[in-house]
Amino acid sequence: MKRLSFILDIGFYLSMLSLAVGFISGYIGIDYYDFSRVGILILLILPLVFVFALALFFMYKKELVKSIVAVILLCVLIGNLFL
Amino acid sequence: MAFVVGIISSIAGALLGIGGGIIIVPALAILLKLPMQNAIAVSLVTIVSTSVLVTAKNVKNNLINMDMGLSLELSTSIFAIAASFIAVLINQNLLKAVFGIFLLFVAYFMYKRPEAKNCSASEEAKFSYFDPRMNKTVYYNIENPKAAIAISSVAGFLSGLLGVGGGVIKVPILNGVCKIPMKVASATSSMMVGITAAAASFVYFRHGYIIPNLVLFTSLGAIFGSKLGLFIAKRAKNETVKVVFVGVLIFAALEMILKAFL
Repeated sequence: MKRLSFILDIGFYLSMLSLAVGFISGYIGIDYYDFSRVGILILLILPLVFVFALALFFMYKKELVKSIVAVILLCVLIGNLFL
Repeated sequence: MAFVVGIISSIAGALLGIGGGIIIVPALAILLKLPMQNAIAVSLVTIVSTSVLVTAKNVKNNLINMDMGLSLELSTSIFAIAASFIAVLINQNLLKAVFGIFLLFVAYFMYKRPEAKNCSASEEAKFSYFDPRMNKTVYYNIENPKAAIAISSVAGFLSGLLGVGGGVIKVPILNGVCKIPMKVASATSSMMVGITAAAASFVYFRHGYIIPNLVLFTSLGAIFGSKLGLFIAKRAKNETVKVVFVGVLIFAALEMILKAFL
């Protein structure tokens, strides 16, 4: 769980950095809009990473029902990407 | 301006326990004159960013009830995704009107907010967490999970449709209906709000409604505001702050309803 907390923190700062680079590059006239899009994507994927880690955690603890619920939730979230 | 909006939303969260979306969406729609779908999209991504930071901290402190969070989140996310598909299709004036009515409900609810319930149980209870302030382990059980799933689904729908986190609904349910202690209820709600908002945000992202520069400033403002909120909370009178924010919410609600029909 401590590792998960670390991953969430790092992911957050990475996304903010990417958004900031996107903003500054736009401000000085070099339009790297993709940096902003990447920043948003990193931010939106972090909750999916969290659910994935929970699914693994429950599988490791052999809690079948909880791991199934986590996997279904993950499928819903990933499925939403392709709708 | 987006930075200031982020600060104010976060201060409101720290002082009154209301989520960022309730402040961010009307502020962006009224002050920056953004179309509703853009305001909702920016609000949702900002909610994800603040939720990620808070969840990272709460996971470390073992405050989140993962069992309840996961069970509620499945239906909540499905309803949020469905609502966001509706929101990108409907007229923005209708969204404004619905948001205005929702704000009036929130203002009333904030004014008449029920007291936090003491939910501790005996040591035989299934769940527990360590409260550093009381310096002891608090034990608790979960009651009425089915009712919570139903009401949480409504919160998910509102989240996807209006760009609010839904914490204003989830925390009282977890505390009042499920008898989960307030600290765990808040932490679990923060985690759920982030997943719900991310699920809904993908729909807005695909339709190009997210404005990254605004997300950057509202998120940074929200982080700065959370520290400022804790500082103010120690000094300001809670009742005065509550009355001011209720007034602001009623004003924003009337402004949005009027703009929807004029």
